[in-house]
Amino acid sequence: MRTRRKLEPILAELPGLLDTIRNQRERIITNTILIGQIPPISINTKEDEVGSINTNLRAKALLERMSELGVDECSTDQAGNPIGVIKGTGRSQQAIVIAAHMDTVYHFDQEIHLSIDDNTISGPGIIDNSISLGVLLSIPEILQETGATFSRDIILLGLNESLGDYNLRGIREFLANWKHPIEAGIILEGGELGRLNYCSRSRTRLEITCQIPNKTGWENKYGNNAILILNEIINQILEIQLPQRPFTQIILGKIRGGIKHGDRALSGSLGLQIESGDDKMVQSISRRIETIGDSIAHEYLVDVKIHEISGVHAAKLEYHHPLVKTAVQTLEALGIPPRVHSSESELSIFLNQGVPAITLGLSHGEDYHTVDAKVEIEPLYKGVAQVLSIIHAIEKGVLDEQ
Amino acid sequence: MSSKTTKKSHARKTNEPQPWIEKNTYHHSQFSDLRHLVELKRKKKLSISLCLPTLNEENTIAKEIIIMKSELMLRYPLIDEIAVIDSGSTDRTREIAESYGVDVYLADDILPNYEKYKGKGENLWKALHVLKGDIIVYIDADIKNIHHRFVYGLIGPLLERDDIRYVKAFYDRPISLDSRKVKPSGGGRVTELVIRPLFSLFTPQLSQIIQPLSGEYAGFRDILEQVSFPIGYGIETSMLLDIYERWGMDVMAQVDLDKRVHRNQDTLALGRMAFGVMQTFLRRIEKLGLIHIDTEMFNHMLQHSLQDGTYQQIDKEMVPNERPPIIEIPEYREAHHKP
Repeated sequence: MRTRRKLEPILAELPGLLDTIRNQRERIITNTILIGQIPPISINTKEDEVGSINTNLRAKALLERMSELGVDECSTDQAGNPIGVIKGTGRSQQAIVIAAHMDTVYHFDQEIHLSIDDNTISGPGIIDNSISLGVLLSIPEILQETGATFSRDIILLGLNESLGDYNLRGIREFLANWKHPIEAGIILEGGELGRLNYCSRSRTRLEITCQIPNKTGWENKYGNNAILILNEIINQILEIQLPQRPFTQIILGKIRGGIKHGDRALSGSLGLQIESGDDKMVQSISRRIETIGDSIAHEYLVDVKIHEISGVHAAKLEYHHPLVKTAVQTLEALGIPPRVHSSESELSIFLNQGVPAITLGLSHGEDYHTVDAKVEIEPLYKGVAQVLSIIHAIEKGVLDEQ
Repeated sequence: MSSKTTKKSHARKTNEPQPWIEKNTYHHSQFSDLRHLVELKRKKKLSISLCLPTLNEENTIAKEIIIMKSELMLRYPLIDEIAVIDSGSTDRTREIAESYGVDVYLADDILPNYEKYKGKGENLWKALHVLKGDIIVYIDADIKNIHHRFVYGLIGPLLERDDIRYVKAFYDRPISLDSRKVKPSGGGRVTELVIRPLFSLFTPQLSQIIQPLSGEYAGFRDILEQVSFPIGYGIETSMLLDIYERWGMDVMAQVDLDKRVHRNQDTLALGRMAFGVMQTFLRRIEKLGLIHIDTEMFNHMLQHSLQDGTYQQIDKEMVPNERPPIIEIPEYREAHHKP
């Protein structure tokens, strides 16, 4: 009830806030273009006569832009995360972190050109996650436009090295090294508007590789076949009994093997993910898969290696946590049904460090991880409004009721 | 001994004037302090208009408008208006431009009592009538890697120096092969094979202009209203020749805008462009009394392409229509309070 009371005046301001954001359309899109066209890669640049430094191009651009936009303090941390601090007016050292990952699933290593029409921005990486970086950059000016002031610091954080093998290094390093208390984290994802993640299941990603020892050319035709070996591994994985509670699943996500149609495959790889609400369950299944790999390697006299490429621990906020309640009520006030599911990403790292955090989607997108990825502009205004509304609610003390 | 002599003869004496190319060539980064530019504009009591001439540019027009509006109108009030002058696009160019709140004109609707022509030069000439600024910036609407430096880079010398009245852009010009691939070199073939040799032959001072055919330039209205505007490809060449002949090199400057990604054109299209440029150049220097052409010049570009085993002639008529200096148009003088 008390959360509701604190929230009501903020929700009443939503129509006005939406108008302000709509008036910032050109700035939001410009910020998105200027950062989204830069490839998410690091290059080695000479620092002085003796040393060089690995610089992420997006991090550099984000930092320069934040500085140009008048963000109070701009710096990078040791993981190369660009950090902008909008200084609070109060003495409290508490801060709200708004974070967006900088790398993209659809990789590009040269400058690309995003195109725009009257309601969409299109191009590689736009929905996951360039649009979030554009919004991150637009927050200082929108806040300025609304005349809002905050007693606590607001930290704008671009996350370097999140996806794949990096295993969320950016956020891990940031949280491990940030000296001051963090009151809450809001993670921005391009899509979909209505997305609300406040729990993270335990997750492990395994890469299983199979190599067939090849001594003579004739064996190319008649020996073991890595694809069949992987097939056998898959069959045995499918026999593993998975509990309904805690809900647990194995997702077979990637497979690759062989070179040409007429030769047996001498190498292959299988990528899979184990997810569960319980860390122990994930560990147990992971060990079971290792045993399957070992037994098949001995049985078929092939080389099977299992490599854990990344993992996160289970963690969650309760549905009645004030941050979750605030997010749900804000989305409902905007007429957006909340879509609640788990997210095994930066959220897990925040939650496991004891920092209340949520992940929010900003707009509607299509062809997420292709060269023709799209994001719609119109829903974005509500996407930005939800973020700002939640920041205002935290400022008004909704989290004091934890 | 001989090399010493050569060195000596090449060394500039202290009382020799600085060559134009050194004195009047800039890099856009020299003007990146936008607050300073806005302050200069305010002190000089100038207004600045941006003109985007279009014909079927639905893929790029929004990006150009949004970036310029965001950075040079909302964030730094450097430009006062943006206008799209359209030649009659059949795609959504005008609709998209209107959705971002800029003035959109159909070229045919401007000065409707005059004969109607289709071409970039026509749009630029008519823009002078509808735009209000003391400085007019012209930017092509097909730039994929658009950045506000394309505009503030051109405005910089006009605000910084009182003697500069016209500024031309130059850049590295990668060619866009498709949405993903960019060829890192190339472009400017008509410049190096046609226009620079012609400048070198007849007006060598102008050969210092690194990219005379670039579609981005800015100038004071009082200069632009006094030159005639060819309708087609010759507009850039003609403008340079007229300004050079009338006011000299010292009113001009050029700015390096770094990389510009544009659409690739096939050789036949470049051939037509070269035809238009030469047509304008020759007529212009004859008019200026630099040469006398004692023969008829034809207005048809004839090209041949092999189709189904036989050579087909492509006959493109290119009539060198030209608009007079707009200061001579009564409606313009009335609208802009010119005597």
